[in-house]
Amino acid sequence: MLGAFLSVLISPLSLGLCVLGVSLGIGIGVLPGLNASMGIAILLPLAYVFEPVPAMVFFFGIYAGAIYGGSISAILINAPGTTAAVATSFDGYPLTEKGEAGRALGMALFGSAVGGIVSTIALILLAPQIADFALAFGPPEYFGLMVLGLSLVSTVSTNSPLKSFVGVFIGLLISSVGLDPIIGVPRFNFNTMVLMTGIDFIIVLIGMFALSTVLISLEKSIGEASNFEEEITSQLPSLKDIKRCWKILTAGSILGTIIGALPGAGATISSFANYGLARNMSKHPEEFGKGNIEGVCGAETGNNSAAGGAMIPMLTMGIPGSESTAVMLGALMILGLTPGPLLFEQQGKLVYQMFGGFLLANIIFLIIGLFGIRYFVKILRIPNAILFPTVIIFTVVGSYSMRNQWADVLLLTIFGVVGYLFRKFNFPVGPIVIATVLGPLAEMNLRQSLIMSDGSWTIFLDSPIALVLIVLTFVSFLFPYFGNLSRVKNIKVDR
Amino acid sequence: MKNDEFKISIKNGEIVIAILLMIIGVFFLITANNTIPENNIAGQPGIGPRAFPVLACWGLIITSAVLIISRLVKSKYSGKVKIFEKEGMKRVILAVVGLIVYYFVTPHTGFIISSIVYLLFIYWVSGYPNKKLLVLLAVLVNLIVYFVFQVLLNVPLP
Repeated sequence: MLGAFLSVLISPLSLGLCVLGVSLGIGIGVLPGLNASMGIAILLPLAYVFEPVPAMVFFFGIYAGAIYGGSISAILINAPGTTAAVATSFDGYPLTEKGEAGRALGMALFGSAVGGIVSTIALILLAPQIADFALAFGPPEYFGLMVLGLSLVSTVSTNSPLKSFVGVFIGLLISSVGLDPIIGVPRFNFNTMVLMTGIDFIIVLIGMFALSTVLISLEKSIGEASNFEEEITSQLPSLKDIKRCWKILTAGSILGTIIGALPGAGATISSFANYGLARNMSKHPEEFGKGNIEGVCGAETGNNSAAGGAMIPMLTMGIPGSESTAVMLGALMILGLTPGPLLFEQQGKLVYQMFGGFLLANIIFLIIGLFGIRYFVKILRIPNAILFPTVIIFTVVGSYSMRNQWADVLLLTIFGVVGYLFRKFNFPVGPIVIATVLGPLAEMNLRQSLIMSDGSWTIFLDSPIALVLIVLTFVSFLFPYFGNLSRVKNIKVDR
Repeated sequence: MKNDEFKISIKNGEIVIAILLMIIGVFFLITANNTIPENNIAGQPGIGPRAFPVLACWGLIITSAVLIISRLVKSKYSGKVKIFEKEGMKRVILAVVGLIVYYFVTPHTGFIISSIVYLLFIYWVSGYPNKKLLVLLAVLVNLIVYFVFQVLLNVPLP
């Protein structure tokens, strides 16, 4: 397994694709409005070109690069490239105003790399154990797991669990379109062949995330671009700054990995939680919001460590806990791989190669971030009036190429408009996409369980694991009432 | 309120969306009851193909209803409004209408021509001033897309 792990690190193809993926990812992350899930979603068709491992290394590169890239615009122009970098701007931009942009960028890079590498180590150590445990899961346990995942996505990820539940049921309804998974009768196809095969969740995802983002940007701006002209050079943080932040780096990496592993709580929540943690641990909390390097360190360690953590439930049990991992799951499925314990058992070598790829992505972005920052800054000069219309063509071709079905472009348009309206009125779209992914699995496991038990629902009480998962589901409903993780979003900073 | 913008309170927007979702839920519920068999074949135990879609419909109807009631009773957004600038909305509507026209026209004209025209249209809607650059970009972007998908990925573009 060690050989498989190391083989990726020295493979020229993987290295090349990783450099390309990280560069594209940083570029995507730098641009306000574009993020990791959107970037991967529109580039998914490229998965067809390569073997699974190099393809996944490419996507891991985009994923890690985009989360870091968001911090660059947050620090330099106070316009976070991704929501995961909002907390970075609290202290990153004041540092730029003080003329210390290089210092802030250096700490963002270092914190991101440490967080990413620690969470990758956690992934390597924990994922096989969890997958081993999950081998004992049958349909009742999987059904319990899916229900818990859906409830956590709703109760943990947003400030409005009710709206998230609305989204979950929309997703479940979308996932019911097409052939029934057990006996194959058509459902909601309205006598059309297009809907007979169901609605590919990638189309829902590209519409809800990418096309809706383009529409929102078209509404906001004409020909706007940043006028940031300063020459920037990144640097690694000084020993003094590292000494000042080492506790935050350590605790933040662990907390971020744990938060990332929770379904629904992705990089954004982790960055806010770690920003709060950094403030609590700091000897100078009063300086937060005014340019404290510890704030940048906390936020950036948090968002990149969550990226590795989020891969744990996705790879071991096939549960995407966030938008980005939902897209990553899509990539794996395109490559003919089904995440879950059987993947670890049957294709262990490939899994370890993917682990190697994830580690490689985190090392490469440290190098590219250090030497390429001056070039990435120039991306900020691309006017929105050119950028976003161009993205539309990629959303069209991306969704068409999933099934070579032109009618999917109409579905894309519908989901794009729905996503736009939802986002305008603060309805989260993530739960819709995640429920579209988990819906068919939940239904299949539920019905298989009932066939096994001859129709008796007590099968879910007879299995201790399923019972625990169902109890946890009920407990998760209480989250909003005793302080959920999303409240960390409400951190107010004196500016 | 300025002439070039209109406002919708977030509360009203939420209620309108929730009502539409309830209608969709009821429509799909009726469709499910009329078109999807209730039981599995050959007396297989457990729930049939209709149960899960019906559950999703009821879930959507109930959560939307609760959302409407909760917003009518008390809204954390009361008093807050979403401002829609008319010019911005015009750009969004034009982009969507253009996309629908593009969808219907492409099978007749082929991907390259309609995509170049559509991209030029969206660039025009976006209002970027340098027209020569836009023409060049529209052609270049579509040629790249054609090369990558048709030639490299073997995706047969329409």
